[in-house]
Amino acid sequence: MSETDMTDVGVEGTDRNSNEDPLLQADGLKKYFDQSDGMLDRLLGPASKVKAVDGVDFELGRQETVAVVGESGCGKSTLGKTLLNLHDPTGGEVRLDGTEIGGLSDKEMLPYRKEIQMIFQDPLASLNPRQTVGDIIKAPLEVHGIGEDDAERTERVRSLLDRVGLSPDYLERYPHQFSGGQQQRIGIARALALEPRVLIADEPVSALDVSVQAQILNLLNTFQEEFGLSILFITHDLSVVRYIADRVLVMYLGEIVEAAPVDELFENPKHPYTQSLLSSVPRIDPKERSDRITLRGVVPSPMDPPSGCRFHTRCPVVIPPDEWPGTEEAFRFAFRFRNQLLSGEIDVENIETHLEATTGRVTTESVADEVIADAYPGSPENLPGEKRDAIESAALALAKGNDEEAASIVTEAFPSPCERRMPTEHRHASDHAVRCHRLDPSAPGEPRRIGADDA
Amino acid sequence: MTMLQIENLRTEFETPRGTVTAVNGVDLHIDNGEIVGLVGESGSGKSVLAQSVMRLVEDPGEITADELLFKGEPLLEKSEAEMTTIRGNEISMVFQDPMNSLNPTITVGEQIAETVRLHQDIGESISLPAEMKRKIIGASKASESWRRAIEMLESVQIPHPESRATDYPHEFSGGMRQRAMIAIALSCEPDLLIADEPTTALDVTIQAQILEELHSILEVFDTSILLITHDLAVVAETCDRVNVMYAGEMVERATTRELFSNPQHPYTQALLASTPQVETAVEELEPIPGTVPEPIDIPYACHFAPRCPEAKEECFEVDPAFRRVGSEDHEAACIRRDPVDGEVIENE
Repeated sequence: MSETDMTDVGVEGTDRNSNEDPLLQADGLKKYFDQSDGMLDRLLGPASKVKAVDGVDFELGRQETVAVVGESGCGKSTLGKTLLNLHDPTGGEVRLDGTEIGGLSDKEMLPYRKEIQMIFQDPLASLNPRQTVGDIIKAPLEVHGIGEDDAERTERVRSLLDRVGLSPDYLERYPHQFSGGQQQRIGIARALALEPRVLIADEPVSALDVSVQAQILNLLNTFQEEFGLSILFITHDLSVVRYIADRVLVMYLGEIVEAAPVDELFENPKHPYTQSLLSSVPRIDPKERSDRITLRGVVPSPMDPPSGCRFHTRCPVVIPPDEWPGTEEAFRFAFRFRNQLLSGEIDVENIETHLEATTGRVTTESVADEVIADAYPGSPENLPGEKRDAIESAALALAKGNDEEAASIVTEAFPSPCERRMPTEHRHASDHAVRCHRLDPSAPGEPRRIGADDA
Repeated sequence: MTMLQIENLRTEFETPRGTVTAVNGVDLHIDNGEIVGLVGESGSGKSVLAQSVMRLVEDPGEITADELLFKGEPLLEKSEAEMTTIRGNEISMVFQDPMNSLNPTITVGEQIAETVRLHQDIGESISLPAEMKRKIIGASKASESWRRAIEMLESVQIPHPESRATDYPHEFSGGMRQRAMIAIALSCEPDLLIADEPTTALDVTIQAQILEELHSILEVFDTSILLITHDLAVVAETCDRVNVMYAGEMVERATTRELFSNPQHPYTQALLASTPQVETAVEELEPIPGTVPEPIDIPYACHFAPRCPEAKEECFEVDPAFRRVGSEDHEAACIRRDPVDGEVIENE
């Protein structure tokens, strides 16, 4: 593949099939959820929307395993369900083998459902407790009219049970009579009954013990080879990803921030978010432990995601503006102060109560000092003069209750290119895409671009 | 000093299908100021072991032990009233799912304040009418117990504890809820904290923070911790010593460093081989064949024998005694391991 025909994050065919189109493909996929409670809310002003998936480009090659990782709430499960058309996409396209399937009605979707199947995290919750295992696995065969008669379908179910490592004699048993690992095997048998081409696995092993988890992972690997399955593996467990995936997409607040082949991503992560995620994973071997990059601040709400790079509010290597007079570290401290002020995390009332309780007297000045002590990491002493003034006057404005003034002071004094501009995708290698200003040579500002490496 | 000393603990449940021996002759000890790990898969009996220490085993559970000493005192001989003072006051517990262990209808601050009032003599009435009044109109923000609640939230790094204390559990994020649970557990400055899968429901980034939190608790409150988990990597990063449990029995114990650099029991080895690791690309994981046996009248001597790659006939017949298998008090219960005698330290 040449560099030029890859413009989207995550575009890469596997070597086996590099001359074929991807099997499952999404362009600019969006899924917003309406947050308004009722009709009255809708009549009054625009509804607030949760942007669970916001412009995701995605490809899954034939017989490829792509893992989507991210913290809870990043939109990875919604992405899986939207690809499967269980959620109507708000925007963008989903194509299965070149055919647009996004937004099809249930009836229109029926023939394609056979091609894409899903397995879920909690196997017991996804199996009907009142049906026998035989009926559960037979149901999709009946819906899609596969098999001549009931006897033939039963025969298929028996062979499926055998394939997933369960005795065919279990046909008449109920789901609760099985262990967690066996239940997940039943879920897999049901998903594979229709011989799908794509399997979407949403945290399929998170509820299982490690010894059983390894059995299920190996089972998925075997089926991938036997049936030529393509697997979209959604998980938060990076160790599992390392084992099962060919390629990894890292998701943050509805967007994909980094995409790379699995070994490349784990050995050479480029996005500051990926780096901190990887550094948080506990390791058995003490030699493998590196310094943990702790993320500050709270995950912003997907209803009102931060402008520019969505990670800028928590990024440990956020870029100072061109004209910044001080050190990068000083800028980051000031920037953190700014973000806490803008997100309303600084609670002046609270500080007043605290001062009242400890010192007995509350003045605007003492509150302002406390605001700085509370929200500014370290001391603003090492800031250049006018910037220090900005912190102080913002704190004072906040103490007086002029929230808007305080906000405009910090916004003015501590801008970052990261919040102003959407990061464009930068290809670190032909198959390694990152969305971060640090790595984009065309981004404005004078960042020390290697900064992302030594974070 | 030894904080907790357990010898030959058995916890049994009579059921119509037979006697379930959830904990089957287990030894464990925790010293002052130690974080001790207890690792095992589901069904290994690790949670029942913790409940047995707290004497919170559900009916019809029966606990027997040669010794169950907490700070030198036998817990099994305590009356129910004495146990109530020990629970929360001296031994407290943090559970896996913070949402299910917090009361959704009471503010977080009030839940901590309640614990403080119940377990510490701070001169606030805990009579039913007084508690009812607090639940209905809210606790006085000037009370000693409320002040303590805010202090506790602050000590577990909840930002703006004064205002967050008036929030309800659903207004907290998952990580904050677990911190709040830890705050409740620590509010009476217990000597022993039992944390049962405290980070299993959390994201890795939050998990890293909570584990750091446990370490700082050790320093600030001088509390010993028993960390129960199925996650080997969590234990490797957090604990001083590790105990591995399988089907109700202890199979191996050692210092953390020794256990992970020189695992000896076939079960520990198999567990490690089936764990995917983030740092190395493994070609093929080796699952442990079969499943954990139901703990009802297990007919074979070594409970792991049917799944063990090294099992011989005698494994099913001879009870495996603990033997030294490495340095630093490293012991394993497996008859296929030669005991290291005296000074000889064998490394593989």
